[in-house]
Amino acid sequence: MDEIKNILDNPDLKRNAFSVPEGYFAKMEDSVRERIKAPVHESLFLKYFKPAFGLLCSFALIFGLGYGVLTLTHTLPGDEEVSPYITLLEDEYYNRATVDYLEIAEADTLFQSSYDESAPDDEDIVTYLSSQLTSADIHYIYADLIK
Amino acid sequence: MEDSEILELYRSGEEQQAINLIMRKYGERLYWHIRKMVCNHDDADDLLQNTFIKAWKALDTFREDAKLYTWLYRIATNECITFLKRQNIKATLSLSDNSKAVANKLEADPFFNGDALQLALQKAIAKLPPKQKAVFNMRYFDELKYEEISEILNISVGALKASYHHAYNKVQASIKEELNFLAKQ
Repeated sequence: MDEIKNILDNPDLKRNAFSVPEGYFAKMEDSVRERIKAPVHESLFLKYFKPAFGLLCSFALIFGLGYGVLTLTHTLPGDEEVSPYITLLEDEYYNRATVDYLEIAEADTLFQSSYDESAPDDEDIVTYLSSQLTSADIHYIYADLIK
Repeated sequence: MEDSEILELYRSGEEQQAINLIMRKYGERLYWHIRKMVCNHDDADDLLQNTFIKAWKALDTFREDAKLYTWLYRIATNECITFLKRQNIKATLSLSDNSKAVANKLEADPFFNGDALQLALQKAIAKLPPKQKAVFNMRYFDELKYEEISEILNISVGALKASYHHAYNKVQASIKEELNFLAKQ
């Protein structure tokens, strides 16, 4: 068990277990030399249009993201589609407005009817005046009216 | 030839000769470092060539704050870590076990001459994350000092010690598991 416990102390484990194809290191130097000498081919398109293309892509990305956000939040101008939540709010508003109007109209009618009921008619006025005024007062008022 | 002489040669315009000397001086050591990281010869060959191409392109920016070998080691290690991360991503996307794939490749590799114990060790190392694998290999196989590894990987010595200790225990446990499995068969 101790042997297993200290297994990494075994010096055989540090021995190199890998090998390489024959003459690899000399060939590797040649390969690197060839890669260093080989000119880097960059197409004319990439050379001249790469910055402009990058800029165009950036704008497209920003526009796309902006459009996506506006579409998701339903805030695009001229958008016919209205979210169900907005419709619900509008309905509630109109319902409340109608109720308020009806309530006001009803209150006016009640006020008007109560006003009419308490108003004295002509007969009441004549009865009232005749009980309060003397015949001389009535004559004086009548003379004033026909003047 | 000393590193400073090679660099002088490079600065005097003899770039090709300088890179030839660097390859001759450090090529083999770098190859074995890369090979232990990626196991496969073809992958190691590609990464070694990339390392030298990158070194050749960036040699004029080398300021001699570090040793040339440390600088080359850093480029090679970064190449390996990037390569291993890509392999892990590919394996994750294809829902396969990368360490098992490495083990299968090793068993079929004509340039792997290890016995069962060494195969178990390589399988255990393949399970480590790329950076931890680099720390383990540099300390265990190359026997570099923590200070040197710290300079190459730009990680503090304390963090390296903890990482190596953790990797060592994981590898040991993994080998034990593999040997127990083989004993049961």
